[in-house]
Amino acid sequence: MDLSDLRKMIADVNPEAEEITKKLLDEGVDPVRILEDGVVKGLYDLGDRFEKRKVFIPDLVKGSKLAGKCIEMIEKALPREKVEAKKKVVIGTLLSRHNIGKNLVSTFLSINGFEVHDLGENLEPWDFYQKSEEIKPDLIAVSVVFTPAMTKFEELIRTLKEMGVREKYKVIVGGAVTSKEWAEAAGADGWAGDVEGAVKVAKELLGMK
Amino acid sequence: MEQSSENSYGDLAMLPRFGRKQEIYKIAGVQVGGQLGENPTVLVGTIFYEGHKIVSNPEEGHFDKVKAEELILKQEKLSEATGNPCFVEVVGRTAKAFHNYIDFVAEVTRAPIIVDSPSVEARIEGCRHAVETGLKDRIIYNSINPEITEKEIDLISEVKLESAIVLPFSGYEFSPEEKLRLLQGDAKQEGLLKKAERAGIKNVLVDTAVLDVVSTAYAVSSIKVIKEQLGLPSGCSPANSFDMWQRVKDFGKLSSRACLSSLCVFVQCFGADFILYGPMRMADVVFPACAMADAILTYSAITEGYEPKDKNIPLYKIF
Repeated sequence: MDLSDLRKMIADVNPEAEEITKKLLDEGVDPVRILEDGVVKGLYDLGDRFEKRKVFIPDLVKGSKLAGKCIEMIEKALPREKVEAKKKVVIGTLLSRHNIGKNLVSTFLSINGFEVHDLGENLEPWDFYQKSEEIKPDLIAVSVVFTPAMTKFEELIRTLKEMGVREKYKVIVGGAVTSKEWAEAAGADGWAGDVEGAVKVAKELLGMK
Repeated sequence: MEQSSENSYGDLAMLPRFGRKQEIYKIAGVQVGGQLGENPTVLVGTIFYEGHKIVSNPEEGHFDKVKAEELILKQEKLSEATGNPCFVEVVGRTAKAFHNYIDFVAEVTRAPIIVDSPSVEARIEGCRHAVETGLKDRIIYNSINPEITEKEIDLISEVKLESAIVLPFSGYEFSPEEKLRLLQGDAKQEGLLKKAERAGIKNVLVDTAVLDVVSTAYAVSSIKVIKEQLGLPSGCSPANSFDMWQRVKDFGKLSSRACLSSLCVFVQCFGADFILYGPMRMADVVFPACAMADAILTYSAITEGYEPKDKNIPLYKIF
């Protein structure tokens, strides 16, 4: 069993992925490699299969859950300094209960070294402001999945400005109804159309490699 | 027919029978629940949803009353013609909007009203207003789900609602086992049924949640399991996922309508007691198809000894 097996198990949403992760960790394989070459690449493969209509939304959710269990084991084995060096992100869905995209971005940010604080769904702009002041993140990531939430995102930016904290946080947005042009006009620092893009833009904004 | 809900009418060749005695609720005169073929499926059309063109101001609750009345009466007429009972699902963004919506709907129809909103405050205040205006028996709260807070439970209890949709789903739990666990609870967390009880809810309607069209497989499996093990009226909202299927239009002008009605019939055949079929304008697509399926289900039950007391059912109305 090696990293390519783990990758395939994740892509196939095979529960044995947990066992393989444990085995690889026990064998002393670098946890960062297990994460990146096994779990993350497996999730990318699963995403490709979704794009090709080979799997469907329940499979993505199951894959995300499975990856989450593996990541939990891997995180415990990560070198302590890497854990402590994490940049903080608060993430949540504005106004609706949609969470699949938000959860995937959350997972991908976690596995890319961010300390993610998931605020959940059905949030109001004030929730983001209040929690950000408590958690003090480097970045706020907002999922906007249906049209009325677009207005709420603009309200969030206004709230951050009115409370005098806009400059403290980088704010990124994404979701089914959004576009790069709209995000710029609404005052976001970044926009992403997919999970990889979200990680990329988060890293760029925070000056990470 | 009392005996049918106790699974006592023999070996059926066609219909699966739920071993557990089925709860049947009467909400504002509408019966919901039971064995397959026992009570006609309750069909729920939605009005004033986000993006509904008849709404001119969703914050204030301003809308085109003529068109709204047409929609509600169209559903009601189809309900009367087919024998499939109906609920009206009202979606609102604010408490103020709910006041306008609920007052209007209550005047146009006697059907039960499901109150839904992304805002907890709006849906609680909408329900409070409905109760204060004498509509308590007709109101169904949507929903009690895993994200419910103690404050929301207290508010539901304070408003003294009796009926609610319970949604055992928060993004990850779609297998029947996970839904049962959420409903019944475990050592780590209190079940949603207990929470509903603490909120004073007597009539629990379980919505098994649909993620996309293919995940209807999980929704109907969950309906079967929940009815088998808990005996509670269960259903789902196939319309939520149906809108995501953009390619359906590639198959011809009528494909979208044909597939929506087929999807509703599909969940009905696995025991759905209620179906949220989506925008109310689709009533004429859904009612005849579901009435036809109900007629077949009831006829099958009759061949096995079931004797419907109520003659106001699809079998005796649509042919």
